[in-house]
Amino acid sequence: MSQNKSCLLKENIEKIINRDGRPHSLTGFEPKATALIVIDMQNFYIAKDQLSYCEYAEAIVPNINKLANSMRHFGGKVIWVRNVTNAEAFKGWGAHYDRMTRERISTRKKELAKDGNGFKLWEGLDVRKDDPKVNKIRYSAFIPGASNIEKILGENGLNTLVFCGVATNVCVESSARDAMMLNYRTLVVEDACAAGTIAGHEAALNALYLNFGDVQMTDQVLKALSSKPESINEVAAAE
Amino acid sequence: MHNAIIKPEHVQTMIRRGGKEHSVESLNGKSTALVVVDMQIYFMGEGQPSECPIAREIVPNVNLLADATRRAGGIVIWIQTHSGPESKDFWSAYYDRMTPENGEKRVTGMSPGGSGFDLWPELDVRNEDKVVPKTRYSAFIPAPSKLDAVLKENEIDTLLITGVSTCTCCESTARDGMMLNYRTMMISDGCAAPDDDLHNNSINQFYLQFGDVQSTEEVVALLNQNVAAAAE
Repeated sequence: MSQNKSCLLKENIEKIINRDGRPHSLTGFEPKATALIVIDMQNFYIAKDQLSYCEYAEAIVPNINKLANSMRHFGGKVIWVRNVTNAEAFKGWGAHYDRMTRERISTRKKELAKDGNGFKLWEGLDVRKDDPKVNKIRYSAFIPGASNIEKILGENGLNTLVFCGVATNVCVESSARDAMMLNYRTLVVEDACAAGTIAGHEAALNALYLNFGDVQMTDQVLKALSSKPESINEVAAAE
Repeated sequence: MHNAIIKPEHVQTMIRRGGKEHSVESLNGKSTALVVVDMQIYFMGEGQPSECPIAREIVPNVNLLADATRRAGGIVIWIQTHSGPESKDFWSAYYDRMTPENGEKRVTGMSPGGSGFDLWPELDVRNEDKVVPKTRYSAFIPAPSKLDAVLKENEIDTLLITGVSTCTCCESTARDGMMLNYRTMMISDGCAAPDDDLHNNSINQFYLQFGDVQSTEEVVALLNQNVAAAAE
């Protein structure tokens, strides 16, 4: 899904210009307050032999590495979020597991366990030792009890989140929706996300753009990250 | 009404993953809640800032579902968005995106007493129902939420989601409900969105990853099984 053109519909861009006075609301970042949140770029979703293989996921790895590199250089954080299945995940989420066959459940249990092969971050990713890693037990990292991400964000004073990863319409979208409702300034990077289908990917990005936060291409974000950092207050004052 | 369609290939996917088309094959009335999201004048009245005309067309289905839920022993919850002036602070990430005029319209329109605040008059709201406030799109955020408390108090484990708009407040409430381990269903002809594409994208996505999607007629039939069982 490393498309080189934005999938935002013209009519939706017009709606946003009408409501917000501009097509993109997140154009200035403060380094100390900004984090790249990489969702579920694990073997379970990227490796061909895995249960939840997403054929478009490997193609977004270069964009994610560029964003991560640029974010660190800019002074922001890079946080790697991983799905994990453990006893707690199973016990508390029958609403999810009751919708699956036994075979699927046992594969998920084995592969997404902490020592499972599916759990590991994809080896082509440029993951640094100092980058925080967060494990989550729901689709959204922000739903109560799902992870300690809010604690990490709070401790580091991070309030602006740039989302990428897999799957656009499931874990990325649910995390971004919840984050925005918890008052984080939220941006999703189109060509650094992948879904099982192009239609699902594009529908999610348009829904996010209309109601939840900004949606931009990798190049737009890289450009903003390479320019002179602005404090949020200056940005707000300029608007 | 929307031309609501779950794509046949998605039905095949769910049969492959879960062994059946619908994960919800019966409803226990006493542990079921109908959750009606944001059926307020702000989203339904002609000329209102966020008017969604199709929302007026789903009113009869919502009333049918409410009646069937009560008769089956369940509860009906009317979710009402409150957007007081303080929302500009606690939800600045939202208001900072829009022009100050549009932000102001929302704040005044859905503040208690505002012209869009009240529930739509044609809804069959009864004394025994619960009216539960929310301040974001999802009624489960931030935690702890009033909705979660009402559900726990009433020992509810299954949610039927209806209201407006499908893809924003209904879907976010439904997604979060499922992640909080409620068995959650969206009603295909009990939700309304600005257009068919937004509506269908939302219910198809929900069906694939989050919970079941059924029509009003199907859900009323499942609820009625409780009444029939009680009569025997």
